[in-house]
Amino acid sequence: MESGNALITVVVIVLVGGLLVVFPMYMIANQNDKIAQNILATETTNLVNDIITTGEFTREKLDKYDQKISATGYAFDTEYTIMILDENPSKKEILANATKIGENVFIVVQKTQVDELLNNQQGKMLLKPGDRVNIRSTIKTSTLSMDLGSFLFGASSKDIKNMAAESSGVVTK
Amino acid sequence: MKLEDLGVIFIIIILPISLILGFYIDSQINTLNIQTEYDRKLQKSTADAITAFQLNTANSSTYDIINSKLRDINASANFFYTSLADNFNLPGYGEEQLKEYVPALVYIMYDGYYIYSPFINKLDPLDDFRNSATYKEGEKISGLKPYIYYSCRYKVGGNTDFVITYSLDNYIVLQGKINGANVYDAGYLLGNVEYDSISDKVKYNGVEITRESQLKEYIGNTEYTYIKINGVKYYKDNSTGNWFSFINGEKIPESRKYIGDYNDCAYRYYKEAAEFKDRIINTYGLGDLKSSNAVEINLDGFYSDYDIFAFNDNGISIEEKNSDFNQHRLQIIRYCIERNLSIAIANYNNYVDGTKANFQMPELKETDWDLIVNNISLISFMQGMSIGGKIYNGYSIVANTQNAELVSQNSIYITHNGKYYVPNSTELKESDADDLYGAYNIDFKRKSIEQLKAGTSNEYELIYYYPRKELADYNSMVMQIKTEPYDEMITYIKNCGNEKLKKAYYTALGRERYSLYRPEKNPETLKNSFTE
Repeated sequence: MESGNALITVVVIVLVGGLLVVFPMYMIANQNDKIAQNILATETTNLVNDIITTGEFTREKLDKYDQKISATGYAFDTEYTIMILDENPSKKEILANATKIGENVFIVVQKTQVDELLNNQQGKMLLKPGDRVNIRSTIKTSTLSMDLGSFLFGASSKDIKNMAAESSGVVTK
Repeated sequence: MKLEDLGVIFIIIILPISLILGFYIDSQINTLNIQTEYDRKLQKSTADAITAFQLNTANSSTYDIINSKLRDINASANFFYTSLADNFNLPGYGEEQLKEYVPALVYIMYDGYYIYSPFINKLDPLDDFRNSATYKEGEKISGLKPYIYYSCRYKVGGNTDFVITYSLDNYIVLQGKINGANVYDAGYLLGNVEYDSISDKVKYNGVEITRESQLKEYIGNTEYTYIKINGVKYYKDNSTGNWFSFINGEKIPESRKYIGDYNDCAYRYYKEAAEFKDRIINTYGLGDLKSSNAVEINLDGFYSDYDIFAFNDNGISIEEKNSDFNQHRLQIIRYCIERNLSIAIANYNNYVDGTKANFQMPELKETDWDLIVNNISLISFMQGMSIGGKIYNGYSIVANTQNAELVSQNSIYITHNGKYYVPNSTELKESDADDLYGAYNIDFKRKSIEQLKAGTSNEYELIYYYPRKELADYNSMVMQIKTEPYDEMITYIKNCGNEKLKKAYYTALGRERYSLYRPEKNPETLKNSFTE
């Protein structure tokens, strides 16, 4: 009888301990993640808006963006792609046959190429109207909330919510 | 107390607090998400509106008629609301409902701005007061308010009291009393420009600007000689020798025969600028005019007292961005826009009846002002919509650099060997070619017309064409690489060391600026001066 009581006591202690510590920690960490996700999405959108309204893609803007999203306490991988408008194919087609409208094409420049262009041009890349910019940031590691969530609910890696934000736009200036 | 009891008490206290905090944070996050989403929708609609304006003005052939510009702006404003309704696509947020939340649209133009906002209609005694009338007395309608110039009044002593109207570049208009005499004068301000009346030669930054050969461009598949006067292009029909303009795809004959052998717009631009400079300094004696002579304007907190018309100050020419004139110009433009816009948005509270928000002008950032005062742009405001935790108060600024309103320093491309380049292309800097030629950037944009189908007499087909046939250089134009760094194009060209490039650029800039529509110019007098 006494050993039964002791077992129940241990179980209760474990349950209470879990309730008192783990759940609140998970809930707070979850709220923290939501705030960080919101900051990431807002800053990503603001960066793209800034680039498309000024027509300038600069190293300084990227650094400021990195600082802001790092202030959430998490580390992120940022990928950026620029699609540069090339109107020459359309022009060549119209010159050959004026009834055809022709089609513009885009030259896709990925992150490593953009970095090289920024290094070669004193950290500044000028974009023209019609060019498209896409920026995506993804968290590098899992957060406390993700770890606790997988522990508590036994979620698989596919079910763990990933922290990421993406924004794109067309240059207007 | 047992441990389980403590646990239960903890849960009873902590769980509701956690839940409430969680709901609160979720609602704040939702509010921010909705705000960001609304910002993007507003920005897209503003971009659509300015693009519509760009397309209309680039294809307009009636630019010397003031109503043409009003029509283009009204069309752009209507497109803004249509695009906004499409982007929102929410029940209850149709076009008419969304107008309640847009206190003002501001179209920043070359020498002033329009505000598009609602007003209460007041009929004149001669108007139609019937119920079947289109616009009724006391009806709330949206429309363009009167044009507001970027102007400032100056007073020096008792004899000089006049107004300067500024623009987005270095063009000014003087009107009022200067040294007791009534003056109405206008012109471009250039620092290092010299005109020798004996040899009839004009030089700018040491480069002689001469008359250039006739201008040519394509309409459809046919190349025409043309001349641009006061914003309108007149083409020469090579088969008949007659001139015509092109309006809505239709040839409108012109009674005059213009000079077709050469084009001297660039020469006139620099010559008139030299004469204007001479009048300002010698005739009007405004060389000592200071910013403190401005009246009825509060420049507290802005840059301190300085000479406005310092044509060459410590090596900085008056048309450069770091000149005192340019700093003063930016202050005046900003003050004019801020003051009237604040009043317009505050007065909007008198017109709304569906929303309970208190409309106020948001504070624009310095980077926003930098965009506004140097480009044709559209500023849109949207306020009053509930987004959960607060009331939405946002704005969007979209600038446009490819329109027929402003020839900025970056509006000129240089053609060479069948391609066109940006002026700071590395290849051009090192080039010694004789075929460098400057052209306006909108002349490289695609256009369309309806023309008679080959082999038919009454069948028309839509064809596309480019006024200029050159292809964009991949390095400098498409990829924007192999270009020289620059802070300001006019300063870069001055120091580039390539005299042929300088001449091509200066000639193009002068030609295109001289050919723009100016309400101060008498179009008939101008046309007569270009007639054979």
